[in-house]
Amino acid sequence: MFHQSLKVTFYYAGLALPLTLIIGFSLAVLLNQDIMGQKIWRTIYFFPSVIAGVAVALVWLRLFDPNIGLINKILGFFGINGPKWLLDPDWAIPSFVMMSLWGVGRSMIIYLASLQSIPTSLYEAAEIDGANVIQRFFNITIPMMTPVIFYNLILGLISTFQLFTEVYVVTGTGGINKAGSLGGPARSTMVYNLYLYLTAFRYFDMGTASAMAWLLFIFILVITVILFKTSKYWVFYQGQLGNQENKKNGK
Amino acid sequence: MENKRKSGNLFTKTLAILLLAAGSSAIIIPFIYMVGTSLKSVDQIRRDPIGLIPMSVTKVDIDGKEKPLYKVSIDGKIVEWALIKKQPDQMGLFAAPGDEDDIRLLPLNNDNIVEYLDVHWENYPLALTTVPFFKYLANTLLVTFIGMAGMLFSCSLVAYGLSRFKARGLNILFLVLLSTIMLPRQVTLIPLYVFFQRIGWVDTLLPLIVPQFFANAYNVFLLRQFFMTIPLAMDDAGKIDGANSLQRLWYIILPQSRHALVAVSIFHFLYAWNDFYEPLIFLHTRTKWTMAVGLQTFNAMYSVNTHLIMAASLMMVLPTLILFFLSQKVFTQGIVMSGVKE
Repeated sequence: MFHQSLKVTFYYAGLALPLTLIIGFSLAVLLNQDIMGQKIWRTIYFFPSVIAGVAVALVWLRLFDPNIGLINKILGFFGINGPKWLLDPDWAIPSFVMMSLWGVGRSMIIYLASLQSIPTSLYEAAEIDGANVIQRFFNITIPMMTPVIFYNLILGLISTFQLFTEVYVVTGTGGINKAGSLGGPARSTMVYNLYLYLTAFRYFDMGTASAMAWLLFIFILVITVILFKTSKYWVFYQGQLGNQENKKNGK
Repeated sequence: MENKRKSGNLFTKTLAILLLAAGSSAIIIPFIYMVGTSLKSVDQIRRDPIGLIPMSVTKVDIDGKEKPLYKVSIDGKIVEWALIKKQPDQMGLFAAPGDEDDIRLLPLNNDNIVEYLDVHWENYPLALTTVPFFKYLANTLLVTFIGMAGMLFSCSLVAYGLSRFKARGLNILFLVLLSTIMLPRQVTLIPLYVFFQRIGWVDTLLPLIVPQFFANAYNVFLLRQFFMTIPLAMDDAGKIDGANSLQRLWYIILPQSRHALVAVSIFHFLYAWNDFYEPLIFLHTRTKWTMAVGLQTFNAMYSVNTHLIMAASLMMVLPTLILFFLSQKVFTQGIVMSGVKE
């Protein structure tokens, strides 16, 4: 079961983390352009990220229903025979990934804030030097964004490894399987955190659960340290500008 | 050349808007589903679980009995007749309203049923009374707002200390504080649970409220960053006027940090309002639950009553949605402020 929970968690993180990073980033770039209804789009995309947890899970639980759910109905409209989603061990984790992508606005808003703080003078200078849109994107936008990408990567790592509420609500009593099968179907959604919860608060094996919690911590810590170590090769901090400002204010 | 570039721009812009529209419908449909379903009748949930608009079947009186109306075609004309009895092979016996002797056997197609808009507002009071909603609301409000007061008090004190005073090991203390962000919640939760159990606080709201009075790293970090941008000269002016250190915090630092304090309060509200894990673990008695736990259990007991579940869910997310619209600016300002503030 422990191995299964590791496998499931890595599968979920491996899908959710890159997708959230890429989609959040692309959305921010798109919404930083001067397009019609810019503010309205931003509001719409940020909107779902303020509601989280149980209420969201309860809605998606019903949307994903294979027979009477809206998603399969819409797919059926296009002639696609939708999968059984949360009832299919192969589709359950991708369903949770889709659910989490709904809240992608949270990372989008952080990217957006960073995009807006890139000095326009950099782009102007590059344009004078003859850099085209694509060159400007890869040589200015992305490097200037790396600190925020790094931030979202670390926070995303921590949160994807802690998935719990959605799985608990969707696979628990009243969930997709009315009688409840936490971590089901066929243990395909037994994420690490859920297994930890069951160990501690259902089987009351606090010792093992604590050990599991520490393993998770050490794992995240090691990954974070490795990312920090590699960050000097790809994360670009704009000199020590921030510190200088603080010092200036401090005088 | 210039023209070509513009039309290319127009093309990519249209493409971008189409993409955004497609994505935003995926974002909005769950909300429409939530609102629509919460206003549906039980009949409609059985008959048409997907429909987004609350509708009911139009019924007419045939021989003292209510019968549903269907659009049927008779002699090439579309008319609305009532279904009296279903027959095998997708057929039905239909009668004209008002002329009950004219009964005909016609093909039965459920898509042709006649409906009218029928909004069931009473689902909301019904959902409120099916669960001890107000009890859960009161608990959630207590946890959220007392916790918020405690968080603001403790975090601003700690951030003040970290940003304005020099002491040996202060940086190390700050690093220790920051490292708690990296600890998964579960690492601290088990010892916390055992601790609260020993002092008899499990199954009370205290484990959810009291820790807020001892600061948390996220908010301390945010406030410290903000306090750092306030010129020290202002503190010195306060000192000359004879303000002690707490007065300087109260009269100089805090009034200038309103944006940061509002941002931190909103983050705390969203966290406390939506939190499921800690209430699930610490609260066992039904009447002590917060809304998140209450809602999950409500669903576990009455999951067939989708309309009531959706009404209750909507009532739970409503305050956060209102807060979202009221504070849209603060949200973005709160996050970017460290870069914007001169």
